[in-house]
Amino acid sequence: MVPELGSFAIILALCFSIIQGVSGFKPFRRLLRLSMTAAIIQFIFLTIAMLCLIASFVMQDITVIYVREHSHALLPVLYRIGAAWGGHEGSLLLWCLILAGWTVAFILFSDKKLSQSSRSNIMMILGFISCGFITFLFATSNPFQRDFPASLITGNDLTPILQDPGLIFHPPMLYLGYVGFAIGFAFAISALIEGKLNQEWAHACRPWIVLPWSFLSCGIVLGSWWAYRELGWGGWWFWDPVENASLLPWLSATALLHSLVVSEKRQSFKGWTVLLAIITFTLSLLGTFLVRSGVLVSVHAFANDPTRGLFLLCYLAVIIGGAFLLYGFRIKDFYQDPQFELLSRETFLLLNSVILLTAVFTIVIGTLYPIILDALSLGKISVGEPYFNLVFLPVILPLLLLMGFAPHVHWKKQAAGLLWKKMRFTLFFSLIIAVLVPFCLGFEFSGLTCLGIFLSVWIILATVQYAHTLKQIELKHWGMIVAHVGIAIVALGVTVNKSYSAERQIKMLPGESVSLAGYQFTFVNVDEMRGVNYEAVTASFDVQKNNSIPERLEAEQRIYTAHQETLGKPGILVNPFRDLYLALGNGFPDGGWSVRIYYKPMVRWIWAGGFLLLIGGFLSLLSQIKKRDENE
Amino acid sequence: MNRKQKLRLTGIISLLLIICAAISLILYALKQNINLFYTPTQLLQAHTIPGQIVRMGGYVAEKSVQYDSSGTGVRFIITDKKNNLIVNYHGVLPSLFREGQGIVVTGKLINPHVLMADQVLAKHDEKYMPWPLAKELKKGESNGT
Repeated sequence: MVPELGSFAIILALCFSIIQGVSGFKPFRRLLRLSMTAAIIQFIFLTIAMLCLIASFVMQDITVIYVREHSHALLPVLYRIGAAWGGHEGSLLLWCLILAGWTVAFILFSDKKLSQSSRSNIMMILGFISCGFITFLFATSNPFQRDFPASLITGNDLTPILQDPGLIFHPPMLYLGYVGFAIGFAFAISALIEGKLNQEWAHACRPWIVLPWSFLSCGIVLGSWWAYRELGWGGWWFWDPVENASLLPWLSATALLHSLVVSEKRQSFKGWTVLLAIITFTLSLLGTFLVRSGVLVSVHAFANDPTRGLFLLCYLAVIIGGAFLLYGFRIKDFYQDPQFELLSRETFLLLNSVILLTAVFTIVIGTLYPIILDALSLGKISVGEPYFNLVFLPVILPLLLLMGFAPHVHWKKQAAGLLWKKMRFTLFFSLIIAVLVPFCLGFEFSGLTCLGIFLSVWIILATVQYAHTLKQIELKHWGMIVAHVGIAIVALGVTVNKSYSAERQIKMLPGESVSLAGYQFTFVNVDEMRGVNYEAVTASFDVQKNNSIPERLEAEQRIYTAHQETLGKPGILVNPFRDLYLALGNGFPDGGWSVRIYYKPMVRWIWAGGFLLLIGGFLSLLSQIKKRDENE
Repeated sequence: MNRKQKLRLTGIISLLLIICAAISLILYALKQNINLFYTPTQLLQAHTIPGQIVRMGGYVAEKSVQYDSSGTGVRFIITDKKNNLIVNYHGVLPSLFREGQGIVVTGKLINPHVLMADQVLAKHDEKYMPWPLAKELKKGESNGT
């Protein structure tokens, strides 16, 4: 009964998405109201569908194929809720639900000054995007599909690495981010259709870029944190195609955020802003295609069951092809003579876009190249971390240098001498810190480390200096200050972590001890325990530095009963300056265990910086809302 | 040339320079960091040189895993049921590693029969299907017979 209700809700949502799209065609007030009502009803039905899916999971309805494949009688209820979006079908339903949610948010909270025709256009575009995705969901990946197995089975169980609280927050947060860019895309297309892009438009559009960008930043951080705890390597970024799929829209959205400021304040960069909005959503869709079509697993798996992939590819071609075609026809209307000198804030913000897009380009090549070669049967290759480190660093480092200058540069025109005079002490000071601090703390010298520390300190000092030159720091400045400092903290964390991490892989017997980075690890004992759906071996270690009071570190090796699958749960001792990370390997007959021990300095700073981006985004949003309220 | 044209020219030239720089960087990085993927049989047919970095896929042969006395040095055989490759690895194996499992190793070739691995990966997808390479291997088997 419940699954049928869910299926039915999806069909109804599809109907209402069509109504929403079609009635946005003409900008009449009544039609617009119809379109908005349809969008709200669509959201309600998709919520019902999602609740039905969660209910099927909680009741463990094994006649639903999707539930059978991702759940198990012994799976804890909390993870069953998360399992609702742990697989392909459910995550697509989440995609559609979040798109509808953003549409409703747009209806309720968008700027009152936005013209009726823009509103109609935006509702129409969102309606069609939604219609395409719900069709895809229902036709190729209905999560409520049922069959009645001949014998009683208990379900296939959720993959152990997904049985983690991270699964409950990470995918919704990520999707809130990259599905949200659909609104910015709809804004851009609406500007192209109308052939005009004014200050009201830019002003109304900005919150719809800032908010998804904040969520996406947070989603990426959550993903990185999850990978760190679950994969047992002590790594926090793997340049995995799935990770790249979330990083790409983030990079181009960052460019878009900055370009939009120029469009709003200086009435410039209009064509560029529209292009970036289209590219950002394109990358969101590309990410969805990569992750959801199966091409990543293997091009051949994709070729065996091409319906999903082909549908997505055609859909992508229609939306993106259409958008770029429209862009090509209309772009000349947006052309303006540049109103700024070579050295001006506009130039800095332009460079920001260019550099970020270059980074996007290099990552796209690295991600798609193996897939294309494989598809053309030219051999199987892999492009791994070394490639991305090699291309990403030289592209992104100049951006960090420019980031310190940019806030100090005037709009329109800046005298080079004045800028130099203003910034030179900050520049020298950060250079001295970068060289002296590692030296005084007794770390070994490395050029790249100094460069990293220099750039981070430089951004922080220059940003603080900027805050100091302001007469009064208002809310609108806080967003930018916090976000820029956040980036600097991420950069500092990455630099120190990459430079001074240490690891040891060794076999230990209970009672033995080993030292790493000044810490003494003593293997105390091994214990066995039972969890709800797993059996585990827990190894306890005492960790101490210079004969201080030992701290207890426990690492687990779990065997999940459903598939007899082993999964390690590393033990981590956290403090703000370092993590001590210990993962169990395999046990030996003599009672010994092989262990991996990592010393990870400042790894928490990477995520802390990421959360500052979220806070910065929210502050910026608050200031925009405040300004709007004052204007009304 | 007036100011407008000059500005446009500067813009175009700097854009071209950036694109060229990016492309040469990409090509350089790709040339350095591409790893070809083989199964043991494909490896024997391919032209490889000792010292080359490759990625190999295959099943861990039954009863082939041997640890040295330190417990972190390990030696095992991966197979595609026709040809074998001996893998030496120093470090802790992933928890999904076991005999009969499909795995992927990356490392330096000593000769076409021996590999010094620096990475061992074992995984499967969300539906417990074995790592997709298993499918490839099966395909190879049925073609061969």
